Amino acid sequence: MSEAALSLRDVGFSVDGSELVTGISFDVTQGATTAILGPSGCGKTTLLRLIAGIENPGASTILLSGHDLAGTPTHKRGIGLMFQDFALFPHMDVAGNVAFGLRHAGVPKRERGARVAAILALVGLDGYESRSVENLSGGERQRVALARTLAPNPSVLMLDEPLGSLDRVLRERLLVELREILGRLAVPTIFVTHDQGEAFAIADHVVVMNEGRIVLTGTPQGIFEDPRTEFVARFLGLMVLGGKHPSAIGQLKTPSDPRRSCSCVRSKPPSWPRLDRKS
Amino acid sequence: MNRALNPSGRTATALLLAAPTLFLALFLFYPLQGILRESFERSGSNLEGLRPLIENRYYLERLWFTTWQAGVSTVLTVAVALPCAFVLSRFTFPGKSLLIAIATVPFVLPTIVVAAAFTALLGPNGLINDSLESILHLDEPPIQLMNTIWIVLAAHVFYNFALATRVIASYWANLDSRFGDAAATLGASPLQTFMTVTLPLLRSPILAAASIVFLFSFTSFGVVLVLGGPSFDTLEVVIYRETAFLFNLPVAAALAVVQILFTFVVTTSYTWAQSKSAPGGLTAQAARRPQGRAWILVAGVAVFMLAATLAPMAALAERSVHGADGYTLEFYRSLNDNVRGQVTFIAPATAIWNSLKFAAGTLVVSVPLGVVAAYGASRIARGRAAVEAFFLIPLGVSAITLGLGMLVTLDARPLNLRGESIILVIAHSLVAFPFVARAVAARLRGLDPRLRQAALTLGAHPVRVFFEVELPLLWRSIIVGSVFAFAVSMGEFGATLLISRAEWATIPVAVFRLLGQPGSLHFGQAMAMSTILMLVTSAGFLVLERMRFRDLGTF
Repeated sequence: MSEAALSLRDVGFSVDGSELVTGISFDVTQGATTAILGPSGCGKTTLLRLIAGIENPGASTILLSGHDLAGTPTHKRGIGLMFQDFALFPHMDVAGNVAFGLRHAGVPKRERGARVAAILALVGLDGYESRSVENLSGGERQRVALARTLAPNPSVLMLDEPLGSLDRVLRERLLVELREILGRLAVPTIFVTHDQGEAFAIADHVVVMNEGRIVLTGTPQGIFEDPRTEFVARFLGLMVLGGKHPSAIGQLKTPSDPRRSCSCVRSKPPSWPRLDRKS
Repeated sequence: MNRALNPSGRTATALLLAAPTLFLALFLFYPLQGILRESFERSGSNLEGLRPLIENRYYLERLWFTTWQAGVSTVLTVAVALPCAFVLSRFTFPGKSLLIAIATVPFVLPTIVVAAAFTALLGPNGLINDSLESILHLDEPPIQLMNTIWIVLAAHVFYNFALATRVIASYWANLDSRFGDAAATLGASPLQTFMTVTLPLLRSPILAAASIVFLFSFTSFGVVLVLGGPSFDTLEVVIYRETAFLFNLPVAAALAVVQILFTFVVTTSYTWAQSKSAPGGLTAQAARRPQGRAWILVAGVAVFMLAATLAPMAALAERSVHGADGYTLEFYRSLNDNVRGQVTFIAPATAIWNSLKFAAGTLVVSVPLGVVAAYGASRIARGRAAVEAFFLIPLGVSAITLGLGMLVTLDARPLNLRGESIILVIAHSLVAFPFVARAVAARLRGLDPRLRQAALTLGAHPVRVFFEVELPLLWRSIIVGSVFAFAVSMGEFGATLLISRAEWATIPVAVFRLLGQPGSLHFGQAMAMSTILMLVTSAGFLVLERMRFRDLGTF
């Protein structure tokens, strides 16, 4: 069995004492796409920022092809991150954005032009080199962002809600294209989304997260057939039958988060002011 | 935001902040501490040197005069600013942004130019008196305002009313006009609505405007020194005289301490009011075109603003070319003459050259310091606002206090700078770099931190990220800050007058000396140099105003 491209071992991160992600462990295999699926605010984006080294995960272990990344600054990790809303450099044209990583990888100028043209062709933006990024449509910006992230040949590609800001028709079309590009490049990819349709369509493995923890990992097929917990089932939009879900209810474990269980327990029902009919 | 910088990132931030902090420590806090020491330690074992402060009624009277003239200036300024703010926030009309830009020019003029302009308009040889004399065939100037409190108050209003208008109008523009509509439906007359609804809602911005106007009028120096004459000394002028002519350093330092306490209280109340009057969370109202009688109000306010702003400035320009026998350029031509026994000790042209040299030096020191201060502060997660406020402290210290502090501390090794002209560059930079820091900090706050992060994930070294991604996006704010820094240095008067040696005289110092001398050549030269300074600073400001229109938002 080949070594994992990226391994997370008990990754955690907290700010001001509140834990944003806790105990995250999973592997991204070579050439495969792993989707991280979960509701907004569940820590998906934080996880990507930890892997990229933008946030410092403290004692956690993140291995890139077996090498511990602790102490390696972001710009030396060679992990591509496509930001939600893209973060294109507004003072550079399309070519300037795409060539940015190549320039810093020391690719000579003559070679860069050809590489930029090739990668723009790959994402379907032939001839867009000298366009200003300010005047692009949402779909075009998404493609430029993908091209910029792919250009320096990252050893792992991370996409943060890459289709999140697009309308549904465009999203479905780009999803197909994206799957094709990822399949062709065979780069190990982490695809973060809150949309189970996207995750199941593109991923070889799915990691379901909630409140900073992993609640389930598996193949799309496996997760769909056996969501294990009520949370996952509901999140996937499955019908939960009166607490008697097909997966044995005895295995159900609520997330062991003491804060939640405390704050959720109410000693008595809330007393709403009642309308007094007499007045 | 970088919530958890890695250790090397923290070291880098600390190094960035070290330079501006060290600069403040050496050239602001050390001198301020020197003032304290001077006033208490050197005044004898039982504070002998300070006794005149209490025994001599003169000082108490000066403190009282300083306070009440600042209070009256503030009330007058706010009274003038309110109708202007109303018109600017509620109506649109052709040429509005130009009017705003022109009306703001006085605020960026150096104080010495304001003083010279009022002398040109209302002084004994001023435009109005000259015209009246020739029309009415009088032998002496009919309007005697020079060396009265009235001309000082008028200059303070002229200098500050645009700032007060801007502060109040930007809040007023965002105030929901439905409050007023609701009051009207409840039966309140327009005046009642204004008094009971609008005015209370405008309390914070009015307080903010009043605090800053009070602060400027309280520490007013150039205007009072030139226009007020010997009988209207503010504390700032008294400190100057005690230092420069009477060499009574303990008393000067004690007065500076009083002044620092006062400015601290006022600055704090300004900051508090300012934070309350940030126009956030309010519904922006679309300004309307005036209808019917509203046109009269709008036209009246516009004409007043233009006349009040342009009259002194136009008079200054006119006087600079008005010779004994009609219009002439002789005053400009004579700037290069090094007359023997010249009161400025140097040719006026040399003063212009000095000003340019010091301004260039100020840019070299203050722009990198300001950028580094703002950039370092932006990398701090908690306490960013406090760090930014820390770098604005020099703006709350009066020019004379600053100069006095430098005089009493920077005269011994290892910082013996009194004989070096670099001390002026340092003094100017101290006042100038907060402007750079503030402009850059405002831009940095609007900058998406993910641009930097994206560049890092693409393999760019942090230093190159700064130069290739962040700096290109900051350059506009750096230019804005630089123009301010340049203008501050060109116009700085108080500290320069106190510290400067004769041969370092800048334009403001030369204008001051020329105005104090009899003779039409001296007067004309003062007018000519003030005009040059007025053109340079207002041109710089108008260019900025054009550049920043989009960033300024609604007014």
